[in-house]
Amino acid sequence: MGFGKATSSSKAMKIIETEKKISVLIVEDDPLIQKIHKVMMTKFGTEVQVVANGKEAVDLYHSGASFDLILMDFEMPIMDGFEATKELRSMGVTSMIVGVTSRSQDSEIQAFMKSGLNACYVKPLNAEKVTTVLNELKNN
Amino acid sequence: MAANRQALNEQLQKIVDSLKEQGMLDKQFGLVHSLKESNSPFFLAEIIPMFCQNVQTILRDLTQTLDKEPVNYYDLEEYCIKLKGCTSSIGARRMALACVTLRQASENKNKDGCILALNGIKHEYYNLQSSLDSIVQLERRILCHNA
Repeated sequence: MGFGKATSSSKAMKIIETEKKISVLIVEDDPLIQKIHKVMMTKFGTEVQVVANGKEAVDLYHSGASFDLILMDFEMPIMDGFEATKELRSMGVTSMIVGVTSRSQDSEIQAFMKSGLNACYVKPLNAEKVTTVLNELKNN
Repeated sequence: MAANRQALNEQLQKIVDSLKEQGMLDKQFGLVHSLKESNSPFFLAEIIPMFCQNVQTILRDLTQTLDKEPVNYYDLEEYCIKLKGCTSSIGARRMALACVTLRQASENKNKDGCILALNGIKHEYYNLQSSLDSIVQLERRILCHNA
């Protein structure tokens, strides 16, 4: 798996139209970043749920929930993004999981990707990255 | 009324443009600002105080970590990464860059370098803080006009 590459879009906030709203799970412990990502993804027309750590994400899937897209932070208490992604993949979860991390060294990104991510982006999450991810999801 | 609202918006935009020219904010802030236009008109007026509270807490944690002997460089790095995340997410460009410097000093276990870098982050924050306060005040006045 390679890094996700952001492509420029002609309109900064192009809303992806689908018959059914794309469901997104934001896994992030920082309330500030939770709020920014939630409002951003909502503005892109997706249905958003937020949890504060990897264990809460895993528990949601154990309870039968499922999402089209998971935006997974790396650094979180209780269960970090690496462990949560590994666990979800071992459960057979095939949702698109995109890492969103403050760590920017290539070795760190590669290590996070090995947990089973489809793509990984360095924060900040912006319109171009979101557009790329949602277009990939729509095409798959 | 509309003229007053427009004047307030222009005043706010001038502050943001000035901060961008100085490199203190980047286009991420513009994105965050635009998010208030959906169903969350109070978004920016809420986000900025959250950001300031976040920064103050992490700066306190960084200072306390550096004050202890021996320095726990693992914790230092974790706090630094957290700070980089929230500063880059709101578009506080120079603060985010200063976090990179601190992380490098922390990886090198260079205490003097860490102290210098942390002071650099604090300097950037104090420079930005008063402008962010002005932005929040203007946002609140704009919201009152819109009500």
